[in-house]
Parts: sequence; structure tokens; C-alpha cells
Amino acid sequence: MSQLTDRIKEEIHEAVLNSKDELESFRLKYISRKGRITELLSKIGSVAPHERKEFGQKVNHLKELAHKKFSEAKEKLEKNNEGNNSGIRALDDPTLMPAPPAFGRLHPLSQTQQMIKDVFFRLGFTISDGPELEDDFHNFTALNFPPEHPARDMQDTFFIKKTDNDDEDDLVLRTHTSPVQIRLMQSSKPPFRSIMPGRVYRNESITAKSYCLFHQVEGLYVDKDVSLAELIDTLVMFVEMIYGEGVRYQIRPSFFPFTEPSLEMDIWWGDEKNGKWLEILGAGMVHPNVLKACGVDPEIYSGFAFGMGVERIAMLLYGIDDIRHLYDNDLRFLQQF
Amino acid sequence: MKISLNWLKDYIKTNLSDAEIANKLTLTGLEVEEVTALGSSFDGIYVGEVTEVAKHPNADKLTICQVNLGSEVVQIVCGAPNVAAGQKVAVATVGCTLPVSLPDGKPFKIKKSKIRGELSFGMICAEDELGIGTDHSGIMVLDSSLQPGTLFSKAYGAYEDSVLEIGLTPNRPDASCHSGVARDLHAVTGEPFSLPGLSDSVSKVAVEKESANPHVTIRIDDENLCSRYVGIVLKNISVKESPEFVQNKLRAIGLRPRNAVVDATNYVMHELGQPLHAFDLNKITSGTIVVKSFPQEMNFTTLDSIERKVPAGSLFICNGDEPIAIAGIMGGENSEIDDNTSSILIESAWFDPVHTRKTSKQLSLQTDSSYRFERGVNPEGTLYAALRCAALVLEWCGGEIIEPVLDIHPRPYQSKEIELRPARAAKIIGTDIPAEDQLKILKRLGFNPVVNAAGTIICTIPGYRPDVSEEIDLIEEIARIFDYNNIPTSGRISFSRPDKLPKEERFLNEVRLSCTKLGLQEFYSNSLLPQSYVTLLDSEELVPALNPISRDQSVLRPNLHHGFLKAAAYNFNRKQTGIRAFEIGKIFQKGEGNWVKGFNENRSLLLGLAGNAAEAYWNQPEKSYTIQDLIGITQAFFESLDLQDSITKEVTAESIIFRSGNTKIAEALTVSNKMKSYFELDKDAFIAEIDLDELLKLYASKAHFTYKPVSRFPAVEFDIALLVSKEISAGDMETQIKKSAGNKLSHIHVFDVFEGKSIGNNKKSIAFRMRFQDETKTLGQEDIEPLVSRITKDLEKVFEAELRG
Repeated sequence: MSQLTDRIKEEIHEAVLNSKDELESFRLKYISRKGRITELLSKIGSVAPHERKEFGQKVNHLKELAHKKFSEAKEKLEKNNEGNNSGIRALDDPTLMPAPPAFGRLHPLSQTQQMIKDVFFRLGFTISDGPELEDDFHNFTALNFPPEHPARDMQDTFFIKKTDNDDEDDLVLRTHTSPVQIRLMQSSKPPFRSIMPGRVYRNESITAKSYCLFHQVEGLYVDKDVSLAELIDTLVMFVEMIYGEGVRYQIRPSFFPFTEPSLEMDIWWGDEKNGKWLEILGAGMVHPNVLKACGVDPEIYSGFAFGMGVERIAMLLYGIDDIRHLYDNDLRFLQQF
Repeated sequence: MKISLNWLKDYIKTNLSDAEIANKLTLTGLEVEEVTALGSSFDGIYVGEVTEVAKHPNADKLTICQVNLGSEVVQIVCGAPNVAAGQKVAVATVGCTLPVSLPDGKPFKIKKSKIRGELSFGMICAEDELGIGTDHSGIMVLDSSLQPGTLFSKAYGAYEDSVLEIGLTPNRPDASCHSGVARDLHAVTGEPFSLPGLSDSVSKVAVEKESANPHVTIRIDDENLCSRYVGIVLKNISVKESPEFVQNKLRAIGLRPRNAVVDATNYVMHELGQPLHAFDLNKITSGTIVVKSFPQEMNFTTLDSIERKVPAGSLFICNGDEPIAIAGIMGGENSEIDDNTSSILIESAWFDPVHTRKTSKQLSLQTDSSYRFERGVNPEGTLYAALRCAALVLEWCGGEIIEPVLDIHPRPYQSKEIELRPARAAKIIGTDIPAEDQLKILKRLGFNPVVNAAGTIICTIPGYRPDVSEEIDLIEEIARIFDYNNIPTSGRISFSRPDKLPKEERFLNEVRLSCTKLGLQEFYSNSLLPQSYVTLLDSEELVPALNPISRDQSVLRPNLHHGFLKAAAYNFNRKQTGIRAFEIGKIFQKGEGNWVKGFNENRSLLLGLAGNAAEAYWNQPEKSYTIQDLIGITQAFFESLDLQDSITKEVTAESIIFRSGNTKIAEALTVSNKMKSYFELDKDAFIAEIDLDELLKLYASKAHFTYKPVSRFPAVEFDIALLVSKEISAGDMETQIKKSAGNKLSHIHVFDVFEGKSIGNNKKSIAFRMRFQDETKTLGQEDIEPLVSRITKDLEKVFEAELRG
């Protein structure tokens, strides 16, 4: 019996376990329930009682040996399989990159517009919409632009329809989003607190500085006791949220037919020495004539309105020097944002 | 508008620096856009005589001049249109530095140079290059008596000034002159302000409102368009140059001095804001000035020697019946002052702003005069300005006034009174500006404020402020002079309960988000399309602009195709291989009209694919986009909004149409060869356009979403391959399978399509993978088999499909 255990011990030592098959046959031969070690144990009855203890120890030792040999060989084999022995597999190179997945980005003007909206949503404004193809009444007359007034020259206008018929109105491409203010005020009752983003048109030639259209975000707040001071506070909160709290600004009087008093806000752009004031928005207290035209009593209600160009803000923020980049749809440009 | 600070200081005694003046004016509403320093010692600049002028052989607009500098004759290449032999000119010689800088801020150094192959030794200067004026229309022509080689500083004198460029808003005609700007500065600083007094020569002359002057009678036929006309006759004057200080001031603001009479009219216009005109009295042959319009179009040659067609109804100044000036815009050649003029009529009038603007627009002719009339000239200052001008002419040209001065004034100006309630001002501005400050501001601006018993302030509005017509205007005046930046703010805002954001806003955000999730890049394109493109569309419903300045931006887009295709071609030309993009925008067509009558304006979404879906990489071959890719993305887009179940698709020969019920929601198509060739696009492109207005309705009516429990039981997969005729579409088969299978079918897709001789030329094999699932139990063979057999039986019946082994 002890010869047998010794032989098996030797066999286990000499077994070559370099492949899955060799490993499997080793397992069947020595470890499995029908294997030789189990078989040995079953023969313990035929061993002399005084030798049984020693025999048991030997067989257990064989069992440990076989298990150890098996697991070491298995581990080694698995390791080798990963490395594939013969060297490195070409396609396993982790620096070998597949085509990048398609990546959709929002246009910088959408991003900037969203940034502006987010500020005003935080300040309690909602949002209103109106047409780009607008009638003269909403675009000019209701906004206190008298017919044939030089104020109309401030905006070069695309006309879509001209009429001499008193029952009809000229049609234009809106030159600002202010007509949406009129539509809003005519369609409901104060208080109003809303922004009006959208595309507007100017009949200008296309250059680095001007395009035949651009985007505005205007805002309107009408309620009892709305004042110029509160307008200034609102604008300051806006520029600080967009340009940072340290932004340097100035407010100066200006003119828009639909606001009185009217103002423009400049921010200081660049360093102390080479910087300059850049106009970033226009605003004012809604003109009493505009409130009246919309059926709002200016003795009870007052309000402010403001407007800014999205392109101007995007160009400042991202250092874009040519407005045409925003409409060329050049992927090399757009995919930077 | 240009304002000379030397000139400004004639009306206000100020201690402020140039920069402080510019800053104060900006903060009162007269925005100073630029400050330019003028004047220099003129080192290296000499008087030269142009002796010869020849055409440059290689450039149409250049001339080669031989210029005598006294000590030598040099060749100079000159680009000015007005250079001519015999002129005395200012020459910047080689080595000198001009008083002005180059646009980039570097010094403007004169070097010997070769211009288009011709040598040039110096530069003949325009006024702006010498820093003495802002005119750049041509070179400065000097007095012909000057000797070549004289130092320019000797000929011209040293002169320094600063010029402000003010961006004048259209509501402020009062500030379109030096005294008006000085008044605003006075309102802020309180520094002494005064208008020029009238000299004795004119202060006591007789003024008549009706009777005729011995030399001229004045008649206004159209009192609506001309409410006041002042005429002053001067005789025995000798037309010569105006004094140097006058010429300097005019040059500083970019005007070219002409002769003392014309200079006097310009001087007073820029001093007081009243446009004036001087006629040669001898050319008013009828002895009668008539202000009238004609019922027909008139041909008229203006001072600039251009014959113009003046529209019927335009107001003229006439010598009897013969027009001699277009009222308020420009005089005629036929009554111009020349060197022989000895008698003149000075005109100072008030013309209707709207009419002046209309005529000026129709003629495309804006002048310094029309600019002021159309904004509103002071109706109270007509006579004063005429007398001031007459006094200057007398001083500079001699002569005498022939009395009486005629002041025809059929509609005298009624000054307005406006009541200002200080409480109202405080409410609008949001702070209490002390009453005494308010009064001080109003007084300095000339509103003559008087506090009445009720505690309100009554202001009398002067004629130079036509923009101030109601209380709110006075409130603005107070606020702007007080300085908006001085208004105390609390750093807090307050508002009533905010409104909900409209559904549309959330919808558009989800649309954008869905598109970017699908890997589409957002585009922004022009809404105005070129004429050449829209003719290809051959549509009656297009919306053109009536007055586009360019044919390339002249018709509103009826869909979003143009922007995408243009961008695709643009990017392919720059080595991009694949485009995958979306755009949201308004599209326009004639129709019933949703916002305005007669025109439909709809919000639209374009999904576009072009070129390569995949580039060749180590693990994939190159692959082009196909129409299936586009349909897949379009469906995925609907699914991303959870609208897939309410949208059906129909395949037609031209396109794939998506509908909700009977309403068309979207259309997907392959871009035609005609369009591809217009855009010079050599790769295939696919476009889906989605009506966002309709989609929004669907989105808004969508039931509130709650989750469905996920089945606890495993799905069973089952594949079938079918042999069908080639014209049977996979989509139709899929629809049939879904119908036959009922609600246990949780997923289906085509995993293999095969065609080949072995199965017959008209046949294809198409294989579907299906997954079945039940919410109440694990499906077994006995559940699946009847389903599959129903499916195959139905397919056989409808499509004559054969099950393949």
C-alpha cells in the first residue's frame, strides 16, 4: 500500500500540466470523486489497523499535493492564456482607438441664450413668444415710433408688404423682439414679468461686424411701483451673474421711442489700460404711451423693459471676432463649444 | 456728429479736462464715441506746387505728380481724386512723421516707396492726415499765393484742438450744435453758459412780418410744411475767405471752408443748430420768393451739380415759379453764391420734419440741413439765427442790411407748459431727488420751472426741445442730469408670484436635448435665401422681401434645407467627411396666416445626414449614411420625446411621411441630384424636416407618464426566416407580425436580408428576431408555437411568404 501511495506521489510530481486537456485529465485522474486518491481512501479497510493512521495521513497529503499542483497549474495556464505566450495580440492594444461616437453639441448662440434665460428664470421671469414676420403696428407704431420719424432709421428694415389700404398694415421682418411685449400686454393683464428671446432682422450687408439677422433677449416687467432704481438693480444682478461679480459697469442715458427714461449699460472690457467701455444692453422705463396703447393705465402701473443682443454677448464671452463665424456652420468652429 | 472742444468753449467756461468733458457728456446721454486730438508743429511738411500730373500706368485711381518743393522737384504718387497741376499743396517729405497715427496706433512715417512700380518721394496730404480736420475726401488745396518750399506751419499757423465724435440719438435735435452740447454740459456742471449776443449791426434792424422788402417779397403757399420763413437782404458785400479761426473750426469738424458767406451759414448751423441758406439775390430775378410744392415730378440741379428727379409734392423755394432750392435739403446751382456775388438773401426757416425726411429719403440725399430739419429745428430761434448769420457776413464781407428783415410767420409757435409732480418723479425714478436739485436741473436746461401752490412744478418747454412733450420726458431730464449712476439702489428686487414656464419652453429644450443625445450638431443658418436658390424650388408660396440690399439674402426660407446643404458643402470642402446636424428655426410661406394675415410662420426642425456615417478605422470599414439611417434617427427622436406610439410612417416614391392621425408631422427624403449640383455637393445627403408646431400639440396632449412594471419573467427569443418576393417591404411585414403576435411580442427586428440565384431572382430572404414576454408567467414551447404558427400563416396569406427551413 505504501508503495502505491509513493508511486502516486511520484506521478503527481511528474505530471505535465501545460494545456487545458492535460489539466482536465489530471483532475479526473486524481481529484475527482472517481479519481485514484478517492479510490485509495476506499481501500483503507484493507490496511492493517495499526497502519491506518499513517496511511490516512499519506493519502491526505497526496490530496493536498494534487490540489496544489492543479490550482498552480491552472493559474499559470490562465495567466499564459491572457498573455498568449507567443507575445502580445495586436488588437488587445488599449491605445488602439475606435472611431469616436457621434457627439452633438448645442450652437454657441443656443448656449449663450440659455445662460441668459437661466439668469432671468432665477429672477422670476417667464418667457413669451411672437412672430418674426410682424406687422408695422406691433413692430413700430405701438412702440411709439411715429410714422416717418427718424427713430425708424435706427433700424434698417426688411419690408415684406407695403400697403396704402387703411384696413391693412405694412408687414416687416421684426427689427427687435419688442413687438412680443406688445402682444403679451394686449393678450392679458398686469403684472407682466417675462423675457422674449428670438431672431430679429436688419437690412444690412453682411460683414465681420454685422449680419442681416441676429438674436435678442428682451425682458418686460410691469406692475405697481416698478422704478428705474429696480431696473438698475435687475441689470446689475444680470451682468454680475454673466460676467462675474467684479464686473465694472456704467449706465448712461440713451433713447428708444418705447422707453422713457431710456438707458444703455456698458461694461469695461479688457485691462485697466487697454480696455474700453462696450455697450451690452439697452433698457428703460416703459413709455406711458406704450402702456396706454396696450390698455394698461400708466398712472397705476409702471414698468421696465430691457434688451440685449445674444451675438454680442457670445462674441465677448468667447472672444469671437467675426459675427459670420456664427452662421457659417463650420464644424471646426462649432465643435469647440 | 463732430464737436470741436475749442468751439464748445465759446459757449461754456469750463475747467474740465477733455477727458472729463467727454465722460460728463456720455453720462448725460450724449455718448462720446471717440476723442481725436488735432494740431501739431508740422515738422517736415512743406508747401509744394504740383507742376505736372500724369496717369499711373498700372493703377486707374493713382496719378504721378511732379511737385516743386522750392529746393527740388520730386515725384509723388497720389491717390486723391482732386489733385491737379498748378495746385499748392501740403507735402509730407521723406523722413517726417505725420501728426496722426496709423490705424494700428503706430507712427505714420513717410518713407521713400514704390507704389505699383512707380517711385514716390513723400505724400500730398489731406486734412485728416495733417491732423487739422476730419475731411478725407481729397487733398488739401492751399492758397495759390504761397511760395513752394514754405514751411507748412508758417502758411497754416499752429492750431490745436480736440474733436468729439458724438453718437447723437434722434430725439435730441437741440444737441446737434455746439451751443446745445454746451447747454447739457452746463446742466451737469453749472459752469457759466451763454449764447452769442447779437452785435449792434443787427440788433436794432427793423423786422416786418408782412410788408415786402424793396428787393424781395416772400410768400409761403404751404403753411403746413413751412410755418416760418425769415429773409435778410444784404447788399454790397464782397465774397472772400472767412477768417482763419473760422476755417480752423470748420475743418476741425470735417467741413471744407468755401467762402465767407457759405462759411457763415455753416458756422451758425453748427453753432445754433439752425440750417441756413444764402441765395445770390441777383439770381432771384422775379423779386419774389415762393415756398411751394408742385403736383408733378420736377427735374432740379442741386449745388453739387447733380440733376435730380424730385418727386411730386416736394417742397421747393422758388424764384417766382422757378425752383431754386429743395426746401431744407439743398440749394440749387442756379442761385449759388459765387465770387462775383454782391447781394445775398439769407434764408432761415422752419420746415416740417416729416416732409423733409420723406423727400430726403426719396432722393437718397441726407445733408447737414435735412438731418436737422427732420429731427425738428427750434421754431423760436429762426430770426435769431438769421440775424447772427447776417452779423457774421457783415463782419467778414462788409456790406449792409437792406431793411426790413422779413419774418413771415403764419403759424406762430405756441410754447407748451407741462406739469411735473415731484411724487410721480420719485415713484418712477425710485428715489427722492431733492426738490431744489430738480429745480436747478430744469432751470439749467431752460425749462423755466415755477413751483405752484399745489406743490407741482410748471415748466415752459423751449422750442429747441421738441422731444419734451409730457411729464415723463421731464422726469427723464431730471434723472439723466442727476446721473443714473447716482441713483441709490437697494440691491434687492421684489416681484409677485412668478408664472409657470410655458409648455413650449420645456418642449423646445427637450427637442434640443434629444437631438444632441442622438449625436447631432446644432446649426444656425440664415433665414434669408438667395434668389438663385429659390427659383429652383419653383413655388408660388415663397415670401420675398421687398427691399433687400442683396439678392443673396432676399427670400424667406420655406423650409430649412438650404442652410444644411450649404453647410454640408462648406464643410466637405474643408475636409470633413460626414455631417450629422440639426437646426431649429422659423419657416415662412404664403397662406391663411397664423400670426399675421396671409403668411404662415411655423417653427421647424431639420435633421440632416450627409457623407460618411463612419470613416474607415481598424475595426470598421468606411460607411456612408443611408436613408435608413435618417429614418432611424427620426424615429429615435420621436421615441426620445415618448411620442413614437402616436406617429405612423408612410413610404412614398419621393419621401417617407410621418403622420399623427391625418396630420403630417415630418417628411424624410434623399436630396435630389438637382439640389446636390446647385450646392456642388458630391456626397449623398438626407434630410428630415419636422413640424414642431404640430409636434408640440402632440407633446402637449400626451398623457401624464407613469412607469409600467417590468416583467419578472424571462423573455423567449425566436427567429424566423422567410422567403418573399422582392417588392414586399420589411416594414409591412413587421407591421403584420406585430398585428398577428399581439401583446406578447416585446421586440422585433430584422437581423438578416439575403438575395441570390440560389433562392430565385425575384426573391429575397428576410429573417426576423422576435422576443416574446408575458407579465404573468414564463412562456413555454406550448405558448410560443401557436403564436409563431399564426404569424407564419398570416404572412403566407398576406405576402405569400414561405418559411425557410
